Amino acid sequence: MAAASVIVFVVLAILPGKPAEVILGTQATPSAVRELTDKLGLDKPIWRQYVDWVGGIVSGHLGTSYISGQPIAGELGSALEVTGPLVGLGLLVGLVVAVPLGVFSAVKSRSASGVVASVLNQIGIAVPSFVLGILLIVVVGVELRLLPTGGFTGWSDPTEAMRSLLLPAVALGVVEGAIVGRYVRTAVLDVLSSDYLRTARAKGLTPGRALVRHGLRNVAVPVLTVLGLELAGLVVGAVIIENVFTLPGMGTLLLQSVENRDLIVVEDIVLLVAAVVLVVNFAVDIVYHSLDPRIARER
Amino acid sequence: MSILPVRLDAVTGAEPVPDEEITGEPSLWHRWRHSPSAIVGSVISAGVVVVAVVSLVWTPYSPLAINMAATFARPSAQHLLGTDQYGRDVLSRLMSGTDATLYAGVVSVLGAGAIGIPAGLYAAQRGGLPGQLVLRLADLVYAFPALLVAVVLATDFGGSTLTVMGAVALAFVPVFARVTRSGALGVLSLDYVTAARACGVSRTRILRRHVLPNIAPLVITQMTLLLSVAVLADAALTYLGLGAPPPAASWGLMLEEAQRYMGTDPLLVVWPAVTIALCVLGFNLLGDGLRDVFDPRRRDR
Repeated sequence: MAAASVIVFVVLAILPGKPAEVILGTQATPSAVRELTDKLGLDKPIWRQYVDWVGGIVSGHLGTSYISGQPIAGELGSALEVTGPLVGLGLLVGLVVAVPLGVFSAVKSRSASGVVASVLNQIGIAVPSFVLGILLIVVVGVELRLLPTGGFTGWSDPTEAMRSLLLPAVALGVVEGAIVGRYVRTAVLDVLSSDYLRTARAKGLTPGRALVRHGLRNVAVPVLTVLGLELAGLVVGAVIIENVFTLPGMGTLLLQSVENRDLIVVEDIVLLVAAVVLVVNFAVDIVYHSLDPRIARER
Repeated sequence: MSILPVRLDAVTGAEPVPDEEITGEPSLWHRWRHSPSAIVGSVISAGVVVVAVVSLVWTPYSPLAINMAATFARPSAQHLLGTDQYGRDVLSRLMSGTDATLYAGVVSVLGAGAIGIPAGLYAAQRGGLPGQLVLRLADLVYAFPALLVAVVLATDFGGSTLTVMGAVALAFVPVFARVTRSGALGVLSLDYVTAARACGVSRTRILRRHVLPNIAPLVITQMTLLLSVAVLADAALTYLGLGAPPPAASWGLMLEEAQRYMGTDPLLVVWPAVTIALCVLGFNLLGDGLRDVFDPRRRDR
């Protein structure tokens, strides 16, 4: 994590364009540029700027946006009020898609309906979430006028807020769900050919009951791992989806900051996302080992 | 055609490796014909490549030619897929976008392979601290999805095709390193490698003659799958404005522009969307198919 923070900072600090010049525009006098550089602390040596930045993050101060002059913590906080629920909803939609789809296409793998499910699944993987998002906007938003095509009015009106998040969450979740669904299918196929499932059938359980009572539990282990990894994918996907639906979340903030060369905001958000990815990967590792002790023994 | 250049047992005197264990009989062609993924994937992928090559020398109209007299034209005999807000021919723009996408995808995959494969081989061969170091470094890079790298690069240098290629390539390096390492570790633990080492064959020679040919199928499969991810990433990053700026004909840009005019002409959104999905689907299926073909034990999974 520490190494990651150094990389982010150094790469961004050595860039060619000087933030002060960008902020003041091309008409700025050299003295004004110097003054602002001073004020932003950009004249200090790189290592000093880095120490200030990391020190700030550790003590809870994310710094002040170069452009708006607002503390980043506040801006990021209100952005996360949109991104957080969006990712959560996306995960939910993903699960609702993945589990039935995967189980169905595995159980029926030898019949036509299972093949159809598999093909649908492949197509689901091939359509990127932002493309699906745009298609949903066109069909549901523009043609049918059922849901808003973008924008966000805030949580003061929860119904309207959920209506705004519904399409983006579906766009995010369906694609992630299709990817996870493939793994569910593999896991269920494994379980179906296992000895203990045959035993369960032998003692008189119907195929359906045997799968629900003995099979799905064992499916959970690999699926949970993939789900964890996909959570990282959801966060990244949310950045793109927010821009599609013009939601005022973290992703929109990130891309605006890139355009404005608001370095410190870019640094904070990039580091935050990288941290989420690292933490999730680590957590998945731990959960994986505790769910299936055999993995620990193999190592 | 055998993937192995020499019969290893002839060189080292070790037990011949049964053909099933590596890639031999029954022929690859036979397995290809029995894998629906491989057939459909090959057809779509070949189609994409053909379109890209054709677009280099010929498109119905110039992809950049503006014709304000014929904006938002419906699909017709003149413009098979209609025209956009500047009267540019959609089919021509899609074709020339195929070329751009494929170029960016292939360059970033090959670039990532050029760094990731040697790194993976090194990690497998050396083990110990240097090997661990390579692995940790790969983990670290892995924490930065292509999108974040592109954001950082775009803050520095502005959006361009190069930004996208660099970001995607960097994101793929750890994938190659991991796949290569785990594949190479498997081969290195085989008896004939031990025998070769006992005969005094040098490390680099073992890697080149024994390890590389054996992990080639694995790597090629991975490359195909990553190509589909690259196409996807390219479209997404260009859509976000981190890639080639307008008026370039790229799928991501076409989507971005079409979204602004979706109230006027929703069809403009549909064409690039379908094209991207078809292209990703093609490379995905080809990758899955290649895996079936190269590694029959994984069939039906």
